[in-house]
Amino acid sequence: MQIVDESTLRLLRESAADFCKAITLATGNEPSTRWWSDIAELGWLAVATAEDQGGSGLGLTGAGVIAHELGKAGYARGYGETVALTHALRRGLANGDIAPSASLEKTLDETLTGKQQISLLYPLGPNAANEGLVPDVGAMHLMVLTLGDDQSLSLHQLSDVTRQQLIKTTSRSRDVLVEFHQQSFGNGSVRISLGKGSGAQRVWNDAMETHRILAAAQLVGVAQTALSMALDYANIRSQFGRLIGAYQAVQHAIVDILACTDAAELLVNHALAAFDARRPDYLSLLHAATAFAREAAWTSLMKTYDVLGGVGFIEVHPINRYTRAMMLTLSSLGSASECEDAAANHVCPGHWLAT
Amino acid sequence: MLTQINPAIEQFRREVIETFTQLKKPEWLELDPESPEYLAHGKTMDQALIDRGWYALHWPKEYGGGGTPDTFLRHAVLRELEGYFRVPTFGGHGRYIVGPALIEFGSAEQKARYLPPIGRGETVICLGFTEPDAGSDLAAMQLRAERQGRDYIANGSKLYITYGHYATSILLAARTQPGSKKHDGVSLFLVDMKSPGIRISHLPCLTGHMVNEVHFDQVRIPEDTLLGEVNRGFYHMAAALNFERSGLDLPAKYMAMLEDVAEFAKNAGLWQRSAIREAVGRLASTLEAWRMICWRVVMLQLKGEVPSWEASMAQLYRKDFNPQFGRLLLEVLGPQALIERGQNRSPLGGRVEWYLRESFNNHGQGGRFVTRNVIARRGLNMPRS
Repeated sequence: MQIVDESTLRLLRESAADFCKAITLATGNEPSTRWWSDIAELGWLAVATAEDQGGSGLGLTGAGVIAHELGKAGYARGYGETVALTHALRRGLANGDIAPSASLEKTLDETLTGKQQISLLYPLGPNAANEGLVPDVGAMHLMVLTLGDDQSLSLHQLSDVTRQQLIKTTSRSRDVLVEFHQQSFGNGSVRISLGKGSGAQRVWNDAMETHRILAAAQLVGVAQTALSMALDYANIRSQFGRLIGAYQAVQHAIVDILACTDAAELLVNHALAAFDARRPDYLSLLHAATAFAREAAWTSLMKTYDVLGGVGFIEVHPINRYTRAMMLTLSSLGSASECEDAAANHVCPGHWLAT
Repeated sequence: MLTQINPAIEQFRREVIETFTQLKKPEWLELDPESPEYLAHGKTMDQALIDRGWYALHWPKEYGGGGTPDTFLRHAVLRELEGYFRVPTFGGHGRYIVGPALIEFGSAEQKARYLPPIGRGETVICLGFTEPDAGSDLAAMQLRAERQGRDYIANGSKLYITYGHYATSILLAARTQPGSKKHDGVSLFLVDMKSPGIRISHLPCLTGHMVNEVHFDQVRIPEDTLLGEVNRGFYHMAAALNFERSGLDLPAKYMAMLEDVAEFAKNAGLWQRSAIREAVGRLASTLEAWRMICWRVVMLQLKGEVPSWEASMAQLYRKDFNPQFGRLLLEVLGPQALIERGQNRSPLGGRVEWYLRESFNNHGQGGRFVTRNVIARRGLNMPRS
């Protein structure tokens, strides 16, 4: 059980907010090219890692704070996933679900220092487990975690050639198209076999769950910046002789954004704390939080476009950077239906009392 | 938020769960909420809470409350579980609104007179605020109480008064200084419902609940029933309503209902329909989110702050959730959802049909539009339309 006190989290949030203010895309900045190495230097890639393993020991709750602030600044990819997968692999090692090895230790250590990014492969379709997209944040190495049909869990380092296979996507970032065959890895690249069977499956599930909740934290940050943009615009734009923020229709749209983003933030934080403490209801909360945050992010962006009108659709408007940044993370959670289905699976008599 | 709840609170939660699990009766969910049998269960449960020192747990110790530093959190946990177990109550606003208001604004004599019977569950108090022409715009109230010697004489009427048909007292907001600004010149009185000149008209609601119009015709109100400062009643009223603003019982109540409906769908072979599972998942997620919004209100109160738009947000969740829940019921059950309690084909003891009607109950303390207006102004500082 890992419980982080409120004052530590507040300090972390203030520190993250200060850093993110300098790199935020909301003010029209170009995306920082150094953000990954900067956050590594700040120790934020190690925030969830235990102190005796070189981290800060602030758990997923601490990582959620960073993920949220990065999302607010428009950096909605890479961070939550790398921290989540590192965390799950460390747990797998501690529980004996995966085999220890020097190469795995090296990979995990390099992740803390920013040399390594660990990602999932976002399959291009339901029957396309062997090809998918990977968001590349520009770290020295990029590893992909996979679970084979035979329940074999592996880390694959993408070759330089593969990392050059950029594909144009909405994100306008370094999205790599990976076709999962030997050529993706090249000569001398690293493939780490982590084990097979139920232990490997447990680690995979843990990795996916952790990824989902941290991705949700990043999405909430994006949605809250959308709220700020909508509110700011409603308070300066006049039409028909008065501020558009004086019209009930506009007010109600912005209240709806506030309602879903506020609740999403509270619920994601609650789920993260439950996850850290491994409370009996943590999975139920996690799936509820993910489904809610996914919907909140989508709704917030759409309603923000409603408020902004034509100006929001001009490419250079910062809202478009956020939209582009968010899409791959949002789609990595699966469809809204899948998220809702996962939440529904926990609903049975008395489930809510299991806290 | 909830992450800091300490082991003592967790222990209390388990104790309440155990108690309610032992005391709960299937009839709670099957009876008409206005039936004498249901109200008898309410009295029994009120007494069960009193016996355990839980009924007025949130009051200070000198008035029969818990008196421990974590009392407020315990009360919040209790409220949530009362909602989840759908514990019946005999009703009245004494326990949550008028009692705390008396403790805050009442004179020593008023506290001695009114608090003990409220704490024993003997007094049922209704709230007399809304009027035929003062609903969302509550400050437009017109009922007048004119000073006459040591008394006030009240004339006018109050509308949509819950519990009015069996309340023993009414917390009456009356205009005592005509011509003053809209929010000024209002005073609060605790009036005996048996006072000569009070007449009650009953207005049954879609849910079977009763609300009432309470008419005041030359009703004599003794001056010692004035609660708080004269002509400051509107502000006292707002403060009184703040005492119980989290609404924590509601998402818990709906979660229990959702569990019922999901179980019904599973038993009826409907769970394989993805649309139903997705709707259940969507609503479960919303309930967890709504619950967090309610807990935020509790945590603000715990810090001594007065929740404003944050409490309105909790109300907004209720009002937005209700229609979605009604829709789910129709999707899961179709025409079967319409069979009333008491019929042998009614699903879940007839409570589905009741839930369906309840899903239209979204107007209290301002409808969905008014609630959004309040949040826009107080929470986002947006201009008045």
